[in-house]
Amino acid sequence: MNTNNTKTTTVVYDDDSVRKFMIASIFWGLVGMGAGVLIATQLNYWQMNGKFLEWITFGWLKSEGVEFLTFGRLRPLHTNAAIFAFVGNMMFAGIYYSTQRLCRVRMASDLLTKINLWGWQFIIVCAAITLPAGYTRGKEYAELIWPINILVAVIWLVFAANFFWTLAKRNEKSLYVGLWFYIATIVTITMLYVVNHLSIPTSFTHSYPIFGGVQDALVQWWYGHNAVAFFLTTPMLGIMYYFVPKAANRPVYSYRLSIIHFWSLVFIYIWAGPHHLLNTALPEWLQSLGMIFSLMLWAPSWAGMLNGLLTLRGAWDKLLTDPIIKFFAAAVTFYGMATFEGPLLSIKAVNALSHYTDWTVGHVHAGTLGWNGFLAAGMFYWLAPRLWNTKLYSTTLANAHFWLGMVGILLYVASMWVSGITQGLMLNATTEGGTVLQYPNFLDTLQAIRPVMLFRAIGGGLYLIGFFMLAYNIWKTARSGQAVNGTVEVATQTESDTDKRFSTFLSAPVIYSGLIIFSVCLSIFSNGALFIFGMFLTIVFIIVAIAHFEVSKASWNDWFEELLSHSFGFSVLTIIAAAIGGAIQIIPTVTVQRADNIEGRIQVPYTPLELAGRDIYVSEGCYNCHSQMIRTLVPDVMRYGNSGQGGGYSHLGESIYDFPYQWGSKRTGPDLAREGSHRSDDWHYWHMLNPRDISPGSNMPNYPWLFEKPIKVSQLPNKIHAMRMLGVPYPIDLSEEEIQAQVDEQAAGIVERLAEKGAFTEPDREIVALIAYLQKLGTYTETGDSAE
Amino acid sequence: MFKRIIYDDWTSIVPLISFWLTFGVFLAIVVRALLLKKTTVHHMENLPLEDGDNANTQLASK
Repeated sequence: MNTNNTKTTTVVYDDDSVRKFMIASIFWGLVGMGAGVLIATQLNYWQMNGKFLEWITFGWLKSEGVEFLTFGRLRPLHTNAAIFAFVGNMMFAGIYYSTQRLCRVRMASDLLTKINLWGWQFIIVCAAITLPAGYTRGKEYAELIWPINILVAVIWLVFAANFFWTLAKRNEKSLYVGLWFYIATIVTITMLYVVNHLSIPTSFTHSYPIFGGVQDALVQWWYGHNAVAFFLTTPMLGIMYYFVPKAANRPVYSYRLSIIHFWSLVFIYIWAGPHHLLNTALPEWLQSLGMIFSLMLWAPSWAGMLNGLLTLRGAWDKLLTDPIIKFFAAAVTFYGMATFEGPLLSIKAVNALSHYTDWTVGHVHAGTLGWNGFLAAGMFYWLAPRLWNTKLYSTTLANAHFWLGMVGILLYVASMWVSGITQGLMLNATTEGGTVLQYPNFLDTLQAIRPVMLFRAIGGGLYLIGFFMLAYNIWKTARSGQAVNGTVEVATQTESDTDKRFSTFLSAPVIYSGLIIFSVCLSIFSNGALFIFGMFLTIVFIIVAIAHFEVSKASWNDWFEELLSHSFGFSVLTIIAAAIGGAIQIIPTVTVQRADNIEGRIQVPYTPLELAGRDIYVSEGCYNCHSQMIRTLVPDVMRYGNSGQGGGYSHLGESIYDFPYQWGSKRTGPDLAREGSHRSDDWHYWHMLNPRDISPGSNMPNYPWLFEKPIKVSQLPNKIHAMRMLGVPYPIDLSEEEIQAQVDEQAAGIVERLAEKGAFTEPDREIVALIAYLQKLGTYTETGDSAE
Repeated sequence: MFKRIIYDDWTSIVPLISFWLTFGVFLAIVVRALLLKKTTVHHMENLPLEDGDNANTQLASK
């Protein structure tokens, strides 16, 4: 900063918004964790899907199940509340507090801050209403319907505008590493969210994603994995790099290591998404990339963990008495543990055991409860006394919260390890020289893990109680003090400084970076003359940049420093680092893995009634418990590959018309990829009415409302039109009358077969459409090119 | 558009390309971090501490 032209002014920080974000985070955290405990109990006691209301109202409410309370609908509510409501609001609180202080300036716009705050809460309320009501896109962590998606994008851009505007107005030239992580969060989440939510609406509450089958699987996990990376990790790391040094009252252990940590993490993380699809129909080269980059991710993750832990050097004695240091130390340790376990689970051989089991669930909760939850608790306990200018109400209560939470996490994670490994081993166990499954009945493996699943609910319950203690402690702290806004005396920019900043914006390295990126993009995305012109421009710009560099006698260090002190140039570099991995994986897949390029098995499109049934399947959240992907593993093929048409593992073309894909990520129930024709219509009828009548010991909810609600046939013309736009080969001139006629004809056949077995229903009920869909699963034809 | 891509040695080439690409990026960052001036490092690492509101002196005794 130019000290010759400075004057001082008092900056009053906007801490009111920080307080509100913090309160919102605690409130939604309790809601999200409460939903988590409820769905954990549902896995052991099917009655918790609504039947329990009959007991607690002493028979006043008669119900075999409540549609708004089933596991399939509440699990998305739990995950969305934990990620976007609890961690999201905590992230905003941490970012708003630290950004203002690191930039020595108030947030640029109070209006944008308010829009961000209340807009985000409005989105959460919308999600809390629509998800239990069954309005979903059917993609994990991306369930919200398209109007809410647009709202999320708008509010996120408001946040981004406010943040970057604040950076532009800052009174501190240097960008601290914590701000780097915030920048990475903002630009990368924008990119991920937009691409994974591209959809074609068919009504105000329904849409189909533009990617289907394997494309959708890849895009979904590019998003899903990096939502963990750039929503649950990078902002937390920024918060760690700000709040841990403050709590320890000493600078970060190694600033140099933090630079290596940042760039390695941003570059490597984005490639790792395919590790969620190991041993599936995803092309092998993508699986390999996912596995290898996950293993390499270990290094930057541990660099960050060690940097965080070693920042506490000399403050270890405070661990005994200071709950804030306790929470921070434990949070960073859980970060290290989760980022050790993640790469381990990404090794294909380990993944063959762990995938689709509770082991993955335990891994995720080590991250969210241990890393995110404890970091949030430490930050809230540090912030509350400062935001209300008082002392923390009770250190003892905070310490008690820490130990209760710690025991809760350990119970949760350990029981999930045992559960996952037990079920994984049982599902993969064979006998008779590897020719026969040792546990052919899926329910045998479920019964084996029921006791440990109960420990999950207990562990989650303890953690929830701990957060209630936090809420009480913070509330009492707030009541004992008075809300205050931080102030600081800073040297402000004069006119000449502003001019200099503008010239920094137009500095040589920034301009050359922009021009070279533009010309490279021009050549990559063009053909013919434009391609050659792009190549030519790239070479010219590189030569001119080198010549300019030589003539100006600058050093690379100066150029790089200049680039890093400017948020625009820095953000461009971050986008490039984060976008490379996604582009290399997604562009070839979207371009090549299309239905018209498929050789061998190709899915038969759904009839209108089956399509309606599929939308009911998605709406009920069946994908939360059932996969539709027989992996390229012998036990998977032995268990699921011998039923239905053909056989063997699931081929890429078998789900190519599935918008969204339904490969799933967890098998609480068996795989359904070849469910079609495996069982009779009446089996499904009785099973949906009460699963335990057909499968004793099942933990699946009852679905009595499917026998009462009518099929939404009027929505089918729009849906089929959207399907045609997405490339599904439906006839062009399928009129509304023809659709209705096809639905009536197929439904009448199902109702007739049901009646023959003593199962009666009207042909326009949802159960009929769902049966039609389930009986279609796994139906495909062989294309002529290279039928296997 | 090409319809079929067959490359038999992908199992060996993909890991190697991945490693060298990442190693290149990592090396560049390490060099860059080591070249940072001491004064810059000192200034940057102390940015969160400059407002003085750091140590946990606001914990209750109970």
